Amino acid sequence: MDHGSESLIPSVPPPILPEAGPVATTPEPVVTFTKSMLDPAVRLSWRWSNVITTVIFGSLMLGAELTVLRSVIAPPLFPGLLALAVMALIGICGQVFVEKQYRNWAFELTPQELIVEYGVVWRTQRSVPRPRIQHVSVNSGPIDRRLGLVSLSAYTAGSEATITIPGLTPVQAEAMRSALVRKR
Amino acid sequence: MKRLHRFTMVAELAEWLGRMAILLIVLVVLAFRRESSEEARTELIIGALAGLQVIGSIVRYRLSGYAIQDGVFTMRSGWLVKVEKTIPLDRIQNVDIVRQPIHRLLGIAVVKIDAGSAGEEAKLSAVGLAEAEALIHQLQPAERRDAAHTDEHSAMPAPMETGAVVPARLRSHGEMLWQASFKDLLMVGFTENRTLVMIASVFGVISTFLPGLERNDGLMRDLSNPLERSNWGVGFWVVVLIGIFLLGWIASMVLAVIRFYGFELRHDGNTLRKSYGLLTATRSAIPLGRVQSLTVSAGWLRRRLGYWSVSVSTAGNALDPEVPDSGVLVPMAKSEKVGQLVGLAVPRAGWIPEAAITLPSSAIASRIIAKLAPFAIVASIVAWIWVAPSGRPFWPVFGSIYTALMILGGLHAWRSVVASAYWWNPDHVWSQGGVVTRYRQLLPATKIQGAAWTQSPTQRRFGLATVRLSFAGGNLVIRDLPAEDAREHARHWGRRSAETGDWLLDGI
Repeated sequence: MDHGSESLIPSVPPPILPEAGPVATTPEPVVTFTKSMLDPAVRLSWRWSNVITTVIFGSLMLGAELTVLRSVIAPPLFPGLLALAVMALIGICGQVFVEKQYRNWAFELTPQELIVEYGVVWRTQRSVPRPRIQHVSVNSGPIDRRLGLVSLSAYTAGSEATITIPGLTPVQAEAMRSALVRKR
Repeated sequence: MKRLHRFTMVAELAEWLGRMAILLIVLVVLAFRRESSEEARTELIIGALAGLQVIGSIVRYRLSGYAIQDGVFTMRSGWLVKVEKTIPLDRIQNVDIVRQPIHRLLGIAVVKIDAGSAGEEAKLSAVGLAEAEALIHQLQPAERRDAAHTDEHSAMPAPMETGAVVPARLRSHGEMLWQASFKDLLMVGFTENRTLVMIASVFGVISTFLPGLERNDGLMRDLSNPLERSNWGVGFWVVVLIGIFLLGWIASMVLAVIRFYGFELRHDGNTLRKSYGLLTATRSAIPLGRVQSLTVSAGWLRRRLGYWSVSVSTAGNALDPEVPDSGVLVPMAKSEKVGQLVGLAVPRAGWIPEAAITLPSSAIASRIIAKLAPFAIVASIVAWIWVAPSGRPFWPVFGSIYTALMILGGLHAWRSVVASAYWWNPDHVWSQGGVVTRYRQLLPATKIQGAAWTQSPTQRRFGLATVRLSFAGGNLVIRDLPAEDAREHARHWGRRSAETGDWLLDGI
């Protein structure tokens, strides 16, 4: 399997790690990524998806309040206040979280494994050994497409061992994809 | 391409009748209640449905076929959408033969072939019994390339020959590992963990029949009134409760006999073969190299009597609802037998720890808070908004239930931490846990697909974290170990797995 030449990955310096255990026998250099953060533009993507979910959730809640809830619990000051307040709270919290989420997100590709770290309330560090990766997919939703971002998912046979890295530039993603699927 | 058995059509029809039973009964009742002058519409509907089904069965039968050739199993089916499934023989995880009563009546069997990935499973809806037994041997030959179990000096096993003469009877093969006598099966049912059922039935009896509780439901009042009027005392209720326990126990013994009737586990080369079941008879072959993870578990009663049950998961069978008890190796066995089975399924792992690591005591506090805080908050809100204003004599009742649940939850958290432990050797990880039902789960490093380290807000306060090692078919989880240890374990096992061989095919 030859997945493109090295020229596909100009922006990523591929440091060659010496004595990298079992992979040291591979003739070509092993592509790695040092521990790095996501593209800053991912914050904008998260903000927009926050706004969209808040609006959808808020309108559902507004509908519920104006129809069902009013007959069950005591009516608030004026109709819709409760829903709007909850919506505003969720929206603001979401926007504050985006910064923290961005700061806590990191990914790293070592000669042995792909490692990600993320989470604000629940913190997670997840690693997948490179030989265990079954396939890799690169996706881009409508918001991400506008911002020129893609996300990369690395799948394994494990039930919970799929890693998804959001907010990559297409060049980064392609470099990582070809590094991950290269036959070892 | 070989055809399926002709009786496939009959079995399919019977299965369809079973699925449609309620609708058909309704239609038949309607047909009988109809005035004679009306048109025979319902008969037409039944006839049309059945006719479609029969035609469908015939068409499906005529278009289905399977073959084993050049190391590949091929299966063809479908009319409008034609499907041809191809499974390389060395990717097959396990082969199950399932026979429901209708199949046994007709002398046929369903063969299920698992390739280990979602949606790739092939199901031969019915083949003749002899053919099924031949298939299980052709698809799962005893000697194959499951590496670690073959002798180092022996040459690579020869590639499988198709059409080889296969033994007609499955039962005569391999060394017998465990065989269930009728008494064993009764014991399996007797020691089944019934705590939850018992608690539920006690609550059910109390809430339904105990006098003095307010009931608005008309039916319930009618049912319980005669009992209330009869003025039986505490003794009566004790007898009722004991009766329910006994009934539950007997039912579970009967169920165990039905489920595991004639259980046999045999060791045949690199494959474990088992057969069991009274109504639905199942035969499975589990190649030893495909065992992804192994669990030894027992409820409190079984543990007291010195018995454990052993189950394995392979990439295919993890949770197959159509194959009952698909992962069970033995429903119940004494410690020595468990040791033998573990040693066979995962050599060099052992199941009695030499040095197990227990959780720090701060884990108790962490679990109590994580478990009880959400419950306490929700209960308080419910009490404050809905229950308190209703003006009933509420606080004593609510308060005592609340306190009881809190104490129970606290005890559970404490016991679960005390019971938890983990240990490892260079190639295997074990995790132990459970409160009423204790388990020990074994995961070989080869089978690890990924490692995760997580920390919840409560865990952060106490400097704890959770390690989750994924394999094809599940996770091995160690909760609430010191955060630094957890991080180290997650990193270590991820790396260790990368150094080992092919996770799907290699032995352990």
